[in-house]
Amino acid sequence: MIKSIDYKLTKQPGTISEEIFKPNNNLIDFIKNREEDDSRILVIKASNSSGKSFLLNSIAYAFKALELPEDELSPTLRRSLNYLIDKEHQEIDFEININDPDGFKINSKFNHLDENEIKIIKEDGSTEVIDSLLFSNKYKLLYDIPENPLDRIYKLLKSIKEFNTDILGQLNPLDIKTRDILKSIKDERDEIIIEKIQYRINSNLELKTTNEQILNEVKEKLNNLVNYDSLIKLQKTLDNQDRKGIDFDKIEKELRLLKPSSRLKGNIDDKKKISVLKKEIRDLHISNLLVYCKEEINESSFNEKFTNSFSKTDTNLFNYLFDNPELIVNDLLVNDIENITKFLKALESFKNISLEKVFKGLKSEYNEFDYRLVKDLKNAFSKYQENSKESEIFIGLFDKKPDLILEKLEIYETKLSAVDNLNKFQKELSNTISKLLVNINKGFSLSKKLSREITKNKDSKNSNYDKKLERANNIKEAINRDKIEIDRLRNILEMNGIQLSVLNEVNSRKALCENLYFKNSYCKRQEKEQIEDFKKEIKKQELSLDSLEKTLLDDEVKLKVEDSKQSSQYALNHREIQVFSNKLSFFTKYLVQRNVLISDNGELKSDDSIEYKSYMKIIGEYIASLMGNKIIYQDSNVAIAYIDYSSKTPYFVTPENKRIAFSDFSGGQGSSNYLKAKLNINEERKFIVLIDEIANMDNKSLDIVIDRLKELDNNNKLLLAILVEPAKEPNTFNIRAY
Amino acid sequence: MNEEEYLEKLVDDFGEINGYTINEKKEFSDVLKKLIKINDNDGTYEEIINIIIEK
Repeated sequence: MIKSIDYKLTKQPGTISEEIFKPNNNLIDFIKNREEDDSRILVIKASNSSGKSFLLNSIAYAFKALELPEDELSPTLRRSLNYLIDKEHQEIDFEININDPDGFKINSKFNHLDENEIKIIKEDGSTEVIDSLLFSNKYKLLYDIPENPLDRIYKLLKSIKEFNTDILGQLNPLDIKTRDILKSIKDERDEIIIEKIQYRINSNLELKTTNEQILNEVKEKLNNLVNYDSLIKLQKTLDNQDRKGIDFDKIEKELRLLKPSSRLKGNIDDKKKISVLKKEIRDLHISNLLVYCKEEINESSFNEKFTNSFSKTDTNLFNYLFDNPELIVNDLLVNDIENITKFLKALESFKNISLEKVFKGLKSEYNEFDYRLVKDLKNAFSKYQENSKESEIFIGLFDKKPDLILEKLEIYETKLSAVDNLNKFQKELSNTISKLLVNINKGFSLSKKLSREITKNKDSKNSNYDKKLERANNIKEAINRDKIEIDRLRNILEMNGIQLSVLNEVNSRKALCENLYFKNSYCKRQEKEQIEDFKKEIKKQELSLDSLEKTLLDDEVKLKVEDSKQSSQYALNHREIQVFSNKLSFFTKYLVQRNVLISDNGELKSDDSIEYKSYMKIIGEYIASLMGNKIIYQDSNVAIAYIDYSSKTPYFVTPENKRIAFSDFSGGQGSSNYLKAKLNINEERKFIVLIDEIANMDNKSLDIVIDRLKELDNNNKLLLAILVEPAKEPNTFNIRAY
Repeated sequence: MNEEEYLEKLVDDFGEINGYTINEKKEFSDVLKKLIKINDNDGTYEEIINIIIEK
């Protein structure tokens, strides 16, 4: 209640228009006469120019109204306050004393000497000056003139924005703290993690042992295959070398019986040309291609059928062509036209007659068209099974289930797939022989050139001697090449663990070869493919072992780190804290998203999403609660459940779901509803309420506001409330207390 | 509607969207309220953990 109020207003000071005003006597008398009455709610009804607005402006200024945020003081009132303190216009000395509900007094004064302070006068008489911040922390000044009250109800949403910001201000540090806690727990000893790493290490060690075993087995098998192959080659090369040695001895004897030709001195260039031509003939790899053809036939899965289909002539032809692959090369090197021509004819005959006949016979055992049909049917059935399992059409067409048909087709396919292999084999063999023919013909041309170069420097009358000599030289060279090959193969075998004593002895080599043949029997005729597969497998196993080794090293370090950590009781609750932290993060995100719907100045951003509808209802309920869940409408109190902000024109919605549009309210009702909402019962500070121009409110509307003020007063939340309305009668200044 | 009631409604809406049961909503709301209360007084990590694991 107001204990005292005093002011001196000097208008146009120091001019001839100077006028001095003092408080209205009615006001002074009212305060004096009601000293014992503690009513804090006053309604002043006064005529124009009686000083009622000046009184409100002065009290507002004394309680720091000019320091209110922009949206808490209307521009009209802010202008009035600035006009009030304009010293060129007027000087004011003002002082007010009010009893606070908590027992102390509030004294506020300002004067023309720029003194402006608020003091707390305690019950023991001591005083304390309080600054604006402290004052605004204790008291909420509501100085208002109801303008566009309905618009302002809409803007009450701003208080929700502030509410959300407050909550987010509390959630964010909590979110950070729970994450910190989780981080600390993660750094603690975790027996489960230790157990997991230990288990992984043990499993990987077992896997490593298994993989090493597999790798060693594969390596051994590969060695057996490579050794067998090398031993066979070694034996062949040794045999070749022996045979060449015999040939060489024979030619040497023949040469001794012939008269050497007189020699012309050959120049260095000619020798070089001869050497180059010989090299070109050897580089045609004719003997290698012959060896390859022979091996292809001998090692093929069709070998037995193949050789059985050979006539005696075919077999003789085969032996003539492939048994001594070096012979044709030697014939080319000495330009033995007769032998070369014979060899070429024999090779063509073997390709075009012998092979054609044999393949035709072999293929007649299989029907290629059957094979294609089986293949196409199998593909069609597989696709059918993937897409339409229980089709009626299928059951109508076949008397077997698709699974059974597919099984049968697979058996046929495997049986008939020999056709594919046979075609592949024929193509490969035919290509190699064609290449041989091309290369021998090339070699023939080179051979002629070579012969010309050689005879250029020799006596043409004794060509037989020269040819034999050349043949002897060529055999010598071939023997040297065999020696190099023998050394290479022995090196491979030695490196693969075969002892020299075994390699040096024919019978030991044979025994080892037989042993290996037996060991390798699992992949008979597939040795080359198996060697390639083993090489790939070894590479794969080595890579896998490398990566396993790295994982093991990493895990051992991790285990050491984890094992050295200390434990705490909270580690056991890690999961619960993690779950809560996740919920908290999601909830914070939820609130941030919803808070964005309200702009900083309290405008609602339209969003029709279903997920936001429920939140719109919450804010509608909140604003309704600010109004005490009651509004004045058509002279009656109407209960409201919430405000529906989802449409362009907001609605008040009653508990019975009746809807009242904002636009259906009169100005007075709107003012009353708005003021009630502003006088939020949940506000922690005490209110100082100054309302000008309440004339547009009827008694019912005013009563609603007075009731809310009384409610605040009863809760010790009201320091002072003055509501002002104009009186039509002149010289009126009436005060009513509530 | 005070701050606590408003928070309850938010948690309820949030829980509904995320398919929480009534008990889960209540549990989360209770823990949240307690945590906000101690956060005002600069709650220690130990207090926070205890509130979360006590439920």
